Amino acid sequence: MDVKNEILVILGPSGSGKTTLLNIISGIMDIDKGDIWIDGEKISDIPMEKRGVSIVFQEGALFPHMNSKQNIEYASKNEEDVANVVEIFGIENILDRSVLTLSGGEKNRVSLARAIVSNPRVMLLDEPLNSLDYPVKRRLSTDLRKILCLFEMPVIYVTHDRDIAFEMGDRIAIMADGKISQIGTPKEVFENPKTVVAAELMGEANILHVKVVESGLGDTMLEWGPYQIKTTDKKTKNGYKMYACVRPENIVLGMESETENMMQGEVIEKIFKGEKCIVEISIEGIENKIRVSCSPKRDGIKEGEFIKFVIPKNSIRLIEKYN
Amino acid sequence: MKNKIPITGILGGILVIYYIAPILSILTWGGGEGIISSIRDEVVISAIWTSMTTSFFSVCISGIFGIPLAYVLSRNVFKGKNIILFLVFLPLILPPIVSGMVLLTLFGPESILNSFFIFENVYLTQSKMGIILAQVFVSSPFIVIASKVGFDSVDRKLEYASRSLGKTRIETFWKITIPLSIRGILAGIMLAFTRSMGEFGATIMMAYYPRTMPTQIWVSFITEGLDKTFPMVMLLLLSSVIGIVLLSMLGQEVMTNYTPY
Repeated sequence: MDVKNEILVILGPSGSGKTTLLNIISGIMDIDKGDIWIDGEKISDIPMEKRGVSIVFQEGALFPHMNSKQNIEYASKNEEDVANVVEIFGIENILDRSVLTLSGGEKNRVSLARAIVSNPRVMLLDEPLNSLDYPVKRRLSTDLRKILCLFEMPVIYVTHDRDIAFEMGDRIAIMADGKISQIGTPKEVFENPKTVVAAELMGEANILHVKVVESGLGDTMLEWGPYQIKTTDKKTKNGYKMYACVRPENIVLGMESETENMMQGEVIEKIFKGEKCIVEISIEGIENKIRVSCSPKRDGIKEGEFIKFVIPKNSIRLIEKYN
Repeated sequence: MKNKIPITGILGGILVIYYIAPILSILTWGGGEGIISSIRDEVVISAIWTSMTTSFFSVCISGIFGIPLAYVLSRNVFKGKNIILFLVFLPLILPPIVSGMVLLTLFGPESILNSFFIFENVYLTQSKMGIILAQVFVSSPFIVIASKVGFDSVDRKLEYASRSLGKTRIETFWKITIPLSIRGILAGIMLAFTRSMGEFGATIMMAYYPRTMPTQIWVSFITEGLDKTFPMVMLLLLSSVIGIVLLSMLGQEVMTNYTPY
């Protein structure tokens, strides 16, 4: 893994080893295999205080026996630098407050200001916005990206939140089971997930267990339970058992005229999700239900009724590996 | 139902009364003139001085070795850690007189250690050194255990954050770990000091002379009876209280300096 002056988001489910990775880079944990280099200098053998790697924890890890200003000054005695970060983070009015009385968002700002003022070569952020309320998180994540870009340094940001990953990351690395399976821009990873885990992390996805029955110049024919469906995805060979990923928003509900990949199933549940509705459809001969999204304004979809839908062939992505 | 005292309150209250009763009882035993005259008694003064100075040095020695041990026990996982914890608890569960016996076999006149030190004119028994050795043995566990509790209460992320900000282990220890665990450490020091002041069983095995206050109380008791002992008992009680008050004041001072917000 190579990180430039950018924000690299490590996205992975909990227990995937994201925090362990940060602990190893920062020096909290020893490395078993491999090395870590910064600007051509091998840092994996040197003590953590000499690495120039600053880590920001989820709750901020502010020193409770110091006020906000003392926390920042702990990292740097340079008054100019301190004044500079205080201004950038807009925390002038909380400098004299005890850190114990700060709100979650304020704690984050102080903790990030403290980390930046120490002038690190690399910043590691371990889900710093995780404990915040949704609106505060939204606001702070946009601010944070702008601020981090000002300092032009490699930033590794760990999260399990897809929205944060999209907003913060120049690139996203997908991590599962202690391994990074894919690195790319948010768009690349979203459109072309290399693993099932990546596909699921990138948003709601129907994962179909399929077998390739015909692949060649034209469309690829897949066997899905008792059905055959087509995809334009060609990266496969005959006889392969694979996963096919279809996003709920790409499935078209209620088509009447016969088209390719048209199927029928029973509506099991309609779930209101604010800006959209998720319809769960059970298909005969298929174990897993299919989830389809539709506008909440759409009428005529009732639980227990049978409905026709189409899985457009260009919306099916073939995936080889689980993680 | 509102004003009913719960059963826990009743049971706990009985124990509190059991703590207060003997103190009230001794206060009614004799007059203040005994105390004043005994303060003028050179033997008593010498006993107070011996107890105070030896306890002070015991606490210093216990702190110098006990606080680092507490830190190691709190922060590190290693083979045999439980055995070390057991050893720390050992002086607490041993009867003091047995502790004294054990120490005597190590430092007594017949021991190899003492035969070596005698040439240096340092006496390991029947000396202040002997008293300090006994006091450190029985009271240092308080410092180790209470400091360990203090260190355990400090979130390790704070130490990691400090080090990732470029501070060394030592700097982090002094500026982050110690201020945040100071309550535990001071509690340990207070307990160790009062334990040293009151130490009798192990001390008397190691040093009958110079007499500490508990030794002097015992001697007065068997030679002159309870009445004559009373002023000394009151003085020990008073000095223990003063010791605790002084240490808590110091603790308060330290805590206000470290936690101003």
